Amino acid sequence: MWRFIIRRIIWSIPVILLLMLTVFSMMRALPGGPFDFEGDKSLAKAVTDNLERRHHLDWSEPWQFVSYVLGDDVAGAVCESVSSIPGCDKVLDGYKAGVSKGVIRGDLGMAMRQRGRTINDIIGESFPVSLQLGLMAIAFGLLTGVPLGTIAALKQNTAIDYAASFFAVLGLSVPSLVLGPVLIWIFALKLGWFPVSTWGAQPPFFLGFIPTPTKAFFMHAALPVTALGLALTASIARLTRASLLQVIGEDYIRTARAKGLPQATLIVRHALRNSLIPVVTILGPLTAAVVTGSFVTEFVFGIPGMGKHFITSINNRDYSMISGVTLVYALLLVIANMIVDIVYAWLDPRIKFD
Amino acid sequence: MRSLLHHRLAVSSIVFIIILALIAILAGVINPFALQGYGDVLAATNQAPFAKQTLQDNYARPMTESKNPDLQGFVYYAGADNLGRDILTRTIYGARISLSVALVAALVSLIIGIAYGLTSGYLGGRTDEIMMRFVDFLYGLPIVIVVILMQVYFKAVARRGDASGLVGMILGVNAALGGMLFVFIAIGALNWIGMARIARGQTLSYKQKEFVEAARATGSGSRRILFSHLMPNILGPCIVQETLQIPGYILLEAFLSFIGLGVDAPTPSWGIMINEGFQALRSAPHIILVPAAALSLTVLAFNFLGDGLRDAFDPRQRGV
Repeated sequence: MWRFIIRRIIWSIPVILLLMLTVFSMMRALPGGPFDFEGDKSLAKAVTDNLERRHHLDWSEPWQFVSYVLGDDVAGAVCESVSSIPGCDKVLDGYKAGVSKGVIRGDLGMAMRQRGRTINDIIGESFPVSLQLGLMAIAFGLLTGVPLGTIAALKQNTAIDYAASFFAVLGLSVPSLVLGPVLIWIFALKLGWFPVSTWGAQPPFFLGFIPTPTKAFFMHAALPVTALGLALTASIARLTRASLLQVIGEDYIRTARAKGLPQATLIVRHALRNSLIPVVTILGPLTAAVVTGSFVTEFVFGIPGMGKHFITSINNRDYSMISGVTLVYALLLVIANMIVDIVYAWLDPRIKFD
Repeated sequence: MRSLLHHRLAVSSIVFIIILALIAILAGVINPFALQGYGDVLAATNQAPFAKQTLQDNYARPMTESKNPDLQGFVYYAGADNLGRDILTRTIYGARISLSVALVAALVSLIIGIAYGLTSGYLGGRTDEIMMRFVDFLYGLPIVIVVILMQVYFKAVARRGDASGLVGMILGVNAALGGMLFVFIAIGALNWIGMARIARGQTLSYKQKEFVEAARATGSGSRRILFSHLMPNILGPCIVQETLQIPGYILLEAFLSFIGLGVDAPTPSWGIMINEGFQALRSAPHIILVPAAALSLTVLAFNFLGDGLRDAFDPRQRGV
């Protein structure tokens, strides 16, 4: 088991590194840099040069990447010892004024467009909000989807089943960019039950991400969580129904029923546990769907989360911000997939990792 | 009963999609401007129906008449948006984008995926292992983030507009398609991974069958076995799987357009229209209504179609 986890971690390192390199080079290949302003907003050449030097944008790109991943001092130390490597003159010129300790030591660098703020600071502020939204949406999906799928399977081929299945396809077909505005229009503008936008909790959070459960928090969260979670409800319900139907047909369920177990025990203890295994496997892809959905949901509901920063930083060419946010998303998805695999093994004793 | 219900839903979905496709293809002839007899007016001003702005009519409510003297008597059945453009016309033209994305992204992903999976499965051994390792590797990438970055890159290069040669030609094609080319590339080129896995699995199972052995024994070459024996067998399941992915492609295009990274304005994509409608949700809620309904219904139809096809071709999965 531990060997499996360690192997998964090692396997995910090249994926994350390649992603960082892709993001890094793509952003720098774009026309226009973070300090290019036009017209009245344009900066003096000396100011731009100074800002670029501060962020090492005058270095050659491989060295910028080394500095970003390993830190300024590492790049400097390498160049001090072997100064014949191409691009080293600039590194020797500027590394002492540098600020980056490198991603490897947990420093995501300075924001280029929000002066004086570190990426760690900005992400530390916005990531918990996104995490709260995402976790609540997944919880919403599980708490509504599993019961819905179970009921549909137990009442197979009745009106309840058809209604549940139809609702599930409907939930899959109405994306959050339609559902969000519709929910706002009905429940916030017409009925006035919920606030239209923003988020009901502010840092500091307990353990870094758990907010104080006030009424305002839940009122603010109700609509965005529904908009984001309904698609999850739908796919979880479909999968639960299908897999429960399959499990109910197995021999061991017939045996359990023959020995006189009550229906409730049979379903909950014997059938549901095994039928949830496929449900667990799609939680990995669903996390990715939540991340995508959160861009839209955060935009529609004006939630100060990381998705908002991702979109604005792309348009601002804030290199360090884009890299930082992408890294956090990639780590999130890798960790989610790993947790899914581990829970999978725990639920299904037949699976052994070697 | 159940399969019949599914069947009916699938059939009605096909009918819906065909009608939608006809509307999209004939959009130039059957848009409200042409139907109400204002085609000549638009032709005289040299404006596309979906881009016709009438500032007297901005935020016009549904079923109201135009205040523009040139368009006297023209009825906005679904209202007009913030620039006074007819929403119904734009929704009709928007179907072109969504349906082309569905078709082209599915084809690109199908062709690359089958070619890759077939090669990997047929060659087997070390090649297979390396090719599948690469697929595993790509599987670990957060696709949506990569698509967003690719879109940002394409759009920035296109905006610079000084490219020549091959790049210039590609940009020209893209401009002619209203910015759709890059959406096709971004979506199709990154979604073949799942298809490659399915195609490889199918190839592996058919490779062991007697008919392949028989074909080899009678002296068929690799090319003949691949294209005349393996391909026809794996094509069916692959197409069914691909149909199930189509709703995802349509939604991804709408998502990209919604956040401003999809097709270029003024090309009407449902995602852009939903964004515009959302901006005016409080004052003019009718703007979002028609494109949102069109998007949801189209995705619903493709979902039912995919389910119906899967039920028909793979009875074991029935009712999943």
